[in-house]
This record gives sequence, structure tokens and C-alpha cells, in this order.
Amino acid sequence: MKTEVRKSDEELITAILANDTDALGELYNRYYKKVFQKCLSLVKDPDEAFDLAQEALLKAFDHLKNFRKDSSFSTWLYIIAHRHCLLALRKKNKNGVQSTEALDEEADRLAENTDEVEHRIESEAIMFSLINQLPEADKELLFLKYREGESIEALQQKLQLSTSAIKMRLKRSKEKLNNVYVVALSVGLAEALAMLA
Amino acid sequence: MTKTILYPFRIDHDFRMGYAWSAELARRLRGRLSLFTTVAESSGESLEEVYHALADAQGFYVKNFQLLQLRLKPVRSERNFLKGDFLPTFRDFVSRDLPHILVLPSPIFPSDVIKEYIAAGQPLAVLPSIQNPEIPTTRRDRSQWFIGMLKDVALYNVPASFFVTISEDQGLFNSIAAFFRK
Repeated sequence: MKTEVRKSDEELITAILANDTDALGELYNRYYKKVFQKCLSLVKDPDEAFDLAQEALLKAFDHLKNFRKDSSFSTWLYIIAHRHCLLALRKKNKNGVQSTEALDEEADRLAENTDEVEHRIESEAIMFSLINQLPEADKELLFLKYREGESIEALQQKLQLSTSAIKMRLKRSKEKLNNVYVVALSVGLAEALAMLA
Repeated sequence: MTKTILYPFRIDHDFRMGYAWSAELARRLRGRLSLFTTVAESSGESLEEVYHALADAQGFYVKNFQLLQLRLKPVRSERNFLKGDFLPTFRDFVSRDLPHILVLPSPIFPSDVIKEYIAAGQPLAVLPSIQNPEIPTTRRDRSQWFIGMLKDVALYNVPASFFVTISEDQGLFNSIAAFFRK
């Protein structure tokens, strides 16, 4: 019996960008219900959420080329849906259809959260790429301190160094990282990575 | 004047195919798809369940009817989800606002109700029972799925212009029109 292999989101997107338009329908079918649920949780009206989900999906598909794979496709799509619903809420509010202070506050909160989430995802992705390119000793130290949450004392024992040496190395590693991070934000990630190569 | 295509459904029956066909009909006729179902308070079905089922059907439609592949936008629908018992609420709804074409899924409508609408001259498309539809595998077959299904749909009181509008392919139109003139 022939079994159909389920393609990952990334495989479908690669196919779409290579003009395999069948993959568009597959991706729509995979996410319509989830995006609808997302919209419903924001606008609370299933009738409205149904149309917003469709619009958000089509909007995402129109901008698929901008999906940079820094985050998962679902996160990227939900951010677009989030924003789309937010705009709809604001528009509705402006037109006075449902003008309530609570709704406005909710919309603002959502806007902040959306920007925050997007900004965090982007920053984390850049930071991660940069840390990965640091010399092994710097990389290890930063991961142990900031990802694993190790204390200075624990690092001192693990690396057999004095407290001041640990602090000094951490300071230098962070400075190095900060310098290239600034370049990544102002000029571009490729340029920043080139500095570390 | 925009044509209204009314499609009633029940979520306890698989309505994905009927929904997809009706939505495609509305798109081809450049009409408005009006959906109808009821939420019976006693059955415990919620409006949210109806929308979830509808979202499934929408995904099925867009995926299998090649809409995005052909750069076409899915048709927007008007949802009439009312409280009450299905059949009496539906009859009341139709009597207040007659659609241009009524698409009836035969498994959920008694034959005497269908006959009543035929006798009243209501343009009608009666859909057969479709359990686990066999989805065409090739792109070409999928793009012709709507037309292919026409041979299983019973049409009543439908004007000849109907066929002209639903198909831009003249050859296809001729063969379908000939079939229905038999």
C-alpha cells in the first residue's frame, strides 16, 4: 500500500518558493483551523474570526518570500494572524461598532505582545548565530553562564580559574559579542559574522 | 443583482464535499454563498463546534479545488447559524429569503421536501450522498473536479445560462449542456 509521506512546513515552503503551487493548498489546509482558533481567541466572534483567518493566511502566503526561517513557520504565521486581528479590532473600534475601553486596552496589550514576541525571536536568532561563531572558550563560558545559569563559583570550579579571571573573561566575551551584535543590527548579520570568521 | 447560493448542512454528516462544491458554484457564478445550519440547544452542539467543522471544510475546499494554485481567492460566505430544529427552521428561513439556487444534500433532506421545492419551481441542485470522497490525484483532475461532479448532481428548474456561466471552457460547456438536454 502506498503511504503518503507528510511533508514538514519547511519542505512545503521550499516547494512553494520553487513554484510548486500544490503545496500552497496543503499549507492552507494544515493551518486554516489553527489560525481560526487563534483569531477566535482574540476577536471572540467566530463569524469574524472565520474571515480574519482566511485573510491572515492569504496575507502570509503573499509574503512568504519574507519568511526568514529565524523562527518556525507557525510562529511567523501566528504573528501575522495576531496583527491582522489586532488591526481588525482597531478598525472596528474606530468605526464605533464596539467601542469599549477594555477592547482598546486588549488591542494595545496584543500589539505590545506581538511586537515583543517578534522582536525577541529576531534578537534571539541573531544572538544565537553570533555566539555560535565566537571562539570555543568564549562560547562555552557564555552558554554556561547565561543559558545554563551557572554561578561564578560553579564556573570557577569547573574551569579551574580564579573568580576575577572568570569575571574578566565573561566581561571580554560579552564585549566581543556586544560589538558584533551592534554591527549585526546596524549593518547586517552577514557582516557581523564575517568579523568573527 | 448578486446571485445567492444557499447551502444547508449539518455537522453530524460529512459536509466537506457539499460545502466545497457549493462554494465553487458560488465562485463560478460570481454569486454569494449563504450557509445554513442550526444549533440545537438540546444536542449540546455549540456554535464553536460548527465553526470548527466549517474551518475543516474550508481547508478541504481550498486545498482540493486548486484555488490558490490558480491564484483565485476563496469565495466569502454569509453564515446563518440559527437555534432550533433543523428542518422547520430551514423551511422558515427559505420562505423568508428565496435563494437563486438551493443546493440540497440529499442525505439530510427527506424526499418529500425536495419534491416540494421542485414543484414550487425553485432552482435546485440535489447533491448525492458522498462518503469519503475519492480525491483526484493529478492537478488537472482536481481542477476539473467540480465539473466532473456535475454528472452526479440532479439539477431542477435551472436556467440554461447556468451552464454558460459555470464553465469558461466552451467544449466542456457543450458536453455538459448536451448531457442535461437529454
